[in-house]
Amino acid sequence: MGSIDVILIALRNLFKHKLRTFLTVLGVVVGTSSIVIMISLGIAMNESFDKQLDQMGDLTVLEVYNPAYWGEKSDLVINNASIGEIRKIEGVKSATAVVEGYLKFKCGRYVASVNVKGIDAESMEDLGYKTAEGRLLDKSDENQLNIVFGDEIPYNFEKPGARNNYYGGMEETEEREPPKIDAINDKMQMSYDSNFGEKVVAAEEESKNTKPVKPYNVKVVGVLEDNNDYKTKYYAFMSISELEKIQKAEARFNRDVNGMREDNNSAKKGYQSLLIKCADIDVVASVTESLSDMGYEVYSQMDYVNNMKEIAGSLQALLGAIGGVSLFISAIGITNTMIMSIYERTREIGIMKVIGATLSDIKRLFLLEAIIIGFMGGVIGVLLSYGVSAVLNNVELSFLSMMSSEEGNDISTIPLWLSICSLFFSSVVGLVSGYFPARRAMKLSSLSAIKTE
Amino acid sequence: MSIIKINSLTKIYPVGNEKVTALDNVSLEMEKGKIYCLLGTSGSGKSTLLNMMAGLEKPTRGQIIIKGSHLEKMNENQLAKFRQKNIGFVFQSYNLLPAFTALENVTLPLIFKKVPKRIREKKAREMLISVGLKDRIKHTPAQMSGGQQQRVSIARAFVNNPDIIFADEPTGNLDTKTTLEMMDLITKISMENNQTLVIVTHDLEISEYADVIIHIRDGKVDRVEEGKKKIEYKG
Repeated sequence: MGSIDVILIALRNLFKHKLRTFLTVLGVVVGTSSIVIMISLGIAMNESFDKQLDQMGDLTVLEVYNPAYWGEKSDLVINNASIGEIRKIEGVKSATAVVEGYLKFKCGRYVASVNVKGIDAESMEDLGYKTAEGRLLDKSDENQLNIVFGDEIPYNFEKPGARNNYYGGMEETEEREPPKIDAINDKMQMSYDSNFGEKVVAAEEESKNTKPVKPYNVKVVGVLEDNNDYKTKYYAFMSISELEKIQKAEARFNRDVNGMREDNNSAKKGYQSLLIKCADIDVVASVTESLSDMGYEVYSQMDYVNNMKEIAGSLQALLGAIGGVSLFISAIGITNTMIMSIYERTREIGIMKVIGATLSDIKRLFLLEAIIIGFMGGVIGVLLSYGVSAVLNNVELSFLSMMSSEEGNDISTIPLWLSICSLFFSSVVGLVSGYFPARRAMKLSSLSAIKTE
Repeated sequence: MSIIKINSLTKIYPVGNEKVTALDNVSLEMEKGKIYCLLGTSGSGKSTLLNMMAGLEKPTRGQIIIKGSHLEKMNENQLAKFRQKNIGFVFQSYNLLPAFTALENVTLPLIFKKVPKRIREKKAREMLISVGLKDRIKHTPAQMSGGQQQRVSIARAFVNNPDIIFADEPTGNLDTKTTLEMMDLITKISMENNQTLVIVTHDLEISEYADVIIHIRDGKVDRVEEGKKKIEYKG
């Protein structure tokens, strides 16, 4: 029997029992769509998870805090000696001390208060930072007042007194005004005086009776690209040695003018923190462990990532299992239908055998009917899944949107490969569940089949 | 030259713990182009003999040689191929496929034989016309009378132009008038094509159509006699 004829006869047989075929197909539809939807939830979860990873920044960068600096009792001090030690750990690509300061910037009529991180100028490239404009700091900037801005900083420049808008600049609204300054090309000044550039009430100024702090002329050499990493976005970077000089000047100023005592312990306390860049993601765990063994408190995104991965993995396995059970039940449904159909058509099978159907003809016919049921169920099931997926993505479901953590992310994503795979899979389910009945049909004795009245 | 040769054929059925001998050491020869009638009462073993000649049942002992091939040595697939080529079958209860039209039912043997669609439909149509069902070609079995269904069944048996036609009580379900029409038709076509026709029946009247009547009794050939042969082929 030719292939086309087998298909036509199989379709004819299925069409003859519309209700039964429909119900069996329905079983496959439910099975397929539940497995597709479950997997689509998992995929969407992974996607939003990946987005979160992006926002968390570079996973190969570890941060070590200096407990002594923050006033905790600890024997460990992070200073140049300990940095040297840390650099020796296998897998560490580079390590830099970090000093943080809070400085005022002025550009033309606009001012901004900025968190400044002092880092080893030459390590900036190693840390994986990338600029949108200009360049990163390098070895030549070690003794220069050169600055790299995080991508959010230019937006922070406002007219003095327009402070209310300050945080407005940080929020990502769609109709955001472009920055008021051209950070790289405009002339930029910087000061540790928090009143720098502000309109200070004259009386207050006079009462202090001090000469204004002389601002530093600085040069912005680069602006970082938008990388969603809050650890770089809202910071300006400069050479650590220059920042330390400025901080010393600030301390002197405070002592002279405001009578604040200089913190003479600062040398002992060491740096605020360290940034350590690992060679690649595989050594992060071992580097973290070595640092912990040395007694440092390491902050690594990897812990969080691993946790999330574990949770996402088990959730996906659960969802997949639910879908799998439904599909298994629909497979039983197909087998049942095919066996019923064989009982009902025993006579028909016998006749076909007597008038010249070979064993493989009979087997192919019944297998094909089962595959068609599986395939049709798959097609309808996938279409249904797209519908359900669209509904899920458009309707606010608090439970499900909790799983995908961020708003605006899809709850359910059905990539093309998933729909193709499920079509294939449902057909295979049909094939497998039809195999036993088809063999049974094939083995029916034609004589006893004919005698069935 | 005999087209069918049966050598000491024996069939024993197990029934519960006992064994029932349906056929006991039967030997026969049948010639090409002749009409044979296996005549016997119910339970005489005549249908068993026919089924074995058509390869639907395996003999316990003995040989069935059709056109030089040993049927008892063939497996099911070889038998299917053999039936496709050489054998047509007319059943008592028509055995048409209910989901298919008359035309499709007649085409089925050709479909199994992988005859191209255009040719097989032409053949089937001609066959249906020759059995007098020109205006029933697109009807399903449920839309036809018993006689018409049997005509479709006859068309299906002959469409392949096989050398041998087996007919198992072909008129058992029909009234007398239709029975005679059907016998006329079936014998006429087989004589026209020089085919061997083997009819199984318990009806003496039908046996009158045969060239040779083989009386079967208790699983044995009782006697063989010349039939009256009601109609002669005038060709």
